[in-house]
Amino acid sequence: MMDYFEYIDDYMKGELEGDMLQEFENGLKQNTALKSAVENYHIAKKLAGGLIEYEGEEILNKIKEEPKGHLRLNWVKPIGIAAALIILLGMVWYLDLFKGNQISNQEFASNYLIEYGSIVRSGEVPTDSFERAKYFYGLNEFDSSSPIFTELDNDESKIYLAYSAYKMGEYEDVLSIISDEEIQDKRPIQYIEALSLIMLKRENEAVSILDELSNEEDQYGQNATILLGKIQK
Amino acid sequence: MKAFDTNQIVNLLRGSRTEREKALRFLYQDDSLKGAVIKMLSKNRGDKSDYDNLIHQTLIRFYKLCIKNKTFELETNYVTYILGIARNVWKGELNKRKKKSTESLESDMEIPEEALDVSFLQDERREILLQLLNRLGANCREVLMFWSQGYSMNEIAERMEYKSPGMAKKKKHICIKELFNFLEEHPEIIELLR
Repeated sequence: MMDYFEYIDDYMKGELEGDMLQEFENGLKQNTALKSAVENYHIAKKLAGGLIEYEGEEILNKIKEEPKGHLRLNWVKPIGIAAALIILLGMVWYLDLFKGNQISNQEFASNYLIEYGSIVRSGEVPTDSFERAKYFYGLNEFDSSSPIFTELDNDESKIYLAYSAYKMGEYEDVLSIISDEEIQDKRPIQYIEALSLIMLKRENEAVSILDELSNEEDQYGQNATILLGKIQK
Repeated sequence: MKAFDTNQIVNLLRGSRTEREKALRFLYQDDSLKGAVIKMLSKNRGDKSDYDNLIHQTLIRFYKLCIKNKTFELETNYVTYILGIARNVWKGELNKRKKKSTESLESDMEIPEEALDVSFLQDERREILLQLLNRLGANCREVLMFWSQGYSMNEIAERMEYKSPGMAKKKKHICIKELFNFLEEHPEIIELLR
């Protein structure tokens, strides 16, 4: 005998034909459970469709309950826990910005830096002053590049100087170099200013700059959006 | 965490349970999406305290959309698209709070109906579904979920990692029987969902 439920989808789609269709329709006359299933087929689908939302909620709730980071304490003896707490407390002020992200300042500073200009790292030392300064900058030889950039005293050189200071971890110097109004509206400058403010734990000041930068969809804008998300964590 | 591009996210959301979970985890933890949603909130009478609920509602809608609409493809970046859904959800929330937004929350993109659906899981319906879930095993839930959206036995077998479409068909057969039995025992539910 036909197992009607095996063919209910085909019947509802109108894909049952010939003897199969005849047998199914006979079943509908005699089998009340089948008749009710056909009548309520679309309601059953609607109810089953609700399972998608339920599953989505279930997964999201599970993700929310997961501990942030991967710190596992199971193996730590009580004395170890105490020692770890002391170290952690000492680090809290230092890593204040990076809650939940276990990322060091150095990693942060390099991860989010967008390199400025074109860098030449090989070949002969150029004779042109600006190109020579860029050459040393590309080799991270800031002691050689910075005096030339300073002497040149043009907008481009100031930007390279600001980026040099940032790479050396001299964040206060970055802010001082870019205080010149003429270069303040340049996006690379606004971006390096925001990064430096973050490194100096002045996130509130960084937010307004990042907010402005994020209005455009270039690389600065994309990174600014990510940084805004990180700061809000 | 591994980053995914827009197409990978949509495909993962239509994949196996592990893949669906992976994609939702990625979206939930994505800083660029979070930054964009918080920025939209801050410009529209919302704040950080609204974020959790908004991103939850938004991701559920996006999740439903990807599973329900098998042919749906994202032609724009996922952040832009999901932000469009979030703007819509937030607009509804502001209406509920009888507040007006400070900027237009109309989305430039065309967002399919599925993503704008009101939640199925409201009040009595949630109760019904919980009753049903108590009757079904985890596999039956998944099979019925895909069956309800017209996935073929081949597609179900792939997602459930069954050896063959025949196995998916067998499982579906058992599960829909259970579903119809449940409905027959609860005529009041039929009335409620009609």
